[in-house]
Amino acid sequence: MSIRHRLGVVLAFTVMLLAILGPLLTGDPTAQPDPVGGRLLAPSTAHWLGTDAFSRDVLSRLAHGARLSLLIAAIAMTTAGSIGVLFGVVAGGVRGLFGWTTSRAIDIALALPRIVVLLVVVAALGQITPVELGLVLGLTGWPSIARLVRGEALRLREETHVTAAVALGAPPARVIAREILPGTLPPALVAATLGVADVVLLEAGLGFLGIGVSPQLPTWGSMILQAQRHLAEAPWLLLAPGVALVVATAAATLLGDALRSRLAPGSR
Amino acid sequence: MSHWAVRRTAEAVALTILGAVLLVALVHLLPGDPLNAIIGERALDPATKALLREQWGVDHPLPVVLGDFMVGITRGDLGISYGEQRPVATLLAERLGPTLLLGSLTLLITFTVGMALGLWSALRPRSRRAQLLGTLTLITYTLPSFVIGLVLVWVFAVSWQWLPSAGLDDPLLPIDATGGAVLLDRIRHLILPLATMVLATIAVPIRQQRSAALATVAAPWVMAARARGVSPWRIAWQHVWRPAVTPVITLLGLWLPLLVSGAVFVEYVFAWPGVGALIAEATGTRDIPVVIGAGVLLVAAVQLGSLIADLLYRVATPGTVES
Repeated sequence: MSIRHRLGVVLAFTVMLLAILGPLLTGDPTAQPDPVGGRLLAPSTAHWLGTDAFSRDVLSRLAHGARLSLLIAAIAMTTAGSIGVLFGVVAGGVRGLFGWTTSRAIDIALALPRIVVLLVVVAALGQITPVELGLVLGLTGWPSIARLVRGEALRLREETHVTAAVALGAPPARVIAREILPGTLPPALVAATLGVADVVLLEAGLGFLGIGVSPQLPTWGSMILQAQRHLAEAPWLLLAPGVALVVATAAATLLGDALRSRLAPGSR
Repeated sequence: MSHWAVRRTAEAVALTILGAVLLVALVHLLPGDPLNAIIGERALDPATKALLREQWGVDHPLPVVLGDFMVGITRGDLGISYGEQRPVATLLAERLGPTLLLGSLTLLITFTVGMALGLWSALRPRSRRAQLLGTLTLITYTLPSFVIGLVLVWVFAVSWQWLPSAGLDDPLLPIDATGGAVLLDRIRHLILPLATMVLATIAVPIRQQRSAALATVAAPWVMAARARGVSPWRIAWQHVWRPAVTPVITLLGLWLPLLVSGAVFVEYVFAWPGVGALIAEATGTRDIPVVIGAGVLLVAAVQLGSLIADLLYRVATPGTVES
């Protein structure tokens, strides 16, 4: 394991620790102990990362935001991964009209920029819960995984173990499920891990635009939205969620790289 | 070649139309009553509500909605904005100029500077400065564009007060200001959004150009050129860069969606009156005709860009076999 990969593991553990233990140790993220005198306080021993414009503790909001981000990312990547693998394996492994149609469906989905689909869906749905947002992000994130899995399945289809299975008389469904599908899972896992970075950024982006989940929820995006109004007097409001975002996305990117060198050493 | 170009163009048009159909269908099939977006917080009696439903056609079945939309598009009619009560096409036309200005400058700077930096770091991959560049690109790659934008605002607009933080021009500029003063003001307003867009998107061409050039640096013809004493500049330009340019052209098509999402967030941060800020604002107010109209425009832009990238790729690699 290289230093970069170790760093990825360390950063990922940091975010998970913040998400799992943070909310237990930091108290209520919505408490407004002193809305008059306790607002926009600089970092101190009482409030390690200061307070926001409503006197709420920034560290507590950051920890709860980490929990929401990870929840949303987990749902999104499970959804995107399952749909992506299903479409990709069918498009790459099944011959004939069915495979061809699935393949074109992937191409059409890839032609739509994700952010545009996301905004259209959010505009139609209005305010949604974090779980629903996770599903929406998953349903807009599968095409890139499907493309990767399709390429992998097309390559595997020509391998000797697949030819052998076909020659032995295995039915097409069995060939796909037992001979092609398992080989596509490692690269799909790598892509899903790398995709976590995109999901975390998009979730924060929607929060920053004040859409998607309720702006009252302590998400990193809504914290950044609030920080924008107080850049002059309270820059730590921007730094805390900004650094958290970098740590989370860098963790996912480095972890994905590490997984790739372990699971799929041949690919770039 | 021309046969292929026609087919590729038809494909881009078909994908744009299919994309438009999908966006319209998506909104129609998802739960959520657009009437709430039209009337907002107002309490209306059922009769008025029924009238509004009819007037805005929110209960029409999907085939009718799709048919209307497609017929409308051919006449340049994208519907009426719920919030502004004005044609969506007019709103888009007003917003197109600023987006094209910001987007084309970003494209120009990101690709020229990105390719130059990528080539430079491939020529001396082990040097301190090249490794520092690698770390910096990883950081800008993981930073969301709106955080980059806000950090620049904090430093250059709030702390040092060198540059304006929002808008296209200064509302306090005298009406009789000279052309030069207006231009200078526009440039001052452009610097921060442009810098943000470039920082948010430049990592990809740098990395791509670097890895492509790293492959050609090791090529035997480069060693041969060095051996016969060709100048380093000429080697960098002719022997390393020229064969390593095609992967970057292919990248253009993949990079455009990045430009689109950059436009949405960066325009929003800087209150830059473009299409990206329009779709973000319209999503917030659930102004669905505007969201769809701007969305279709962005889909078309991405398709056009990837079409141009494919055509350029063909020109750059004349030997490519028809696939």
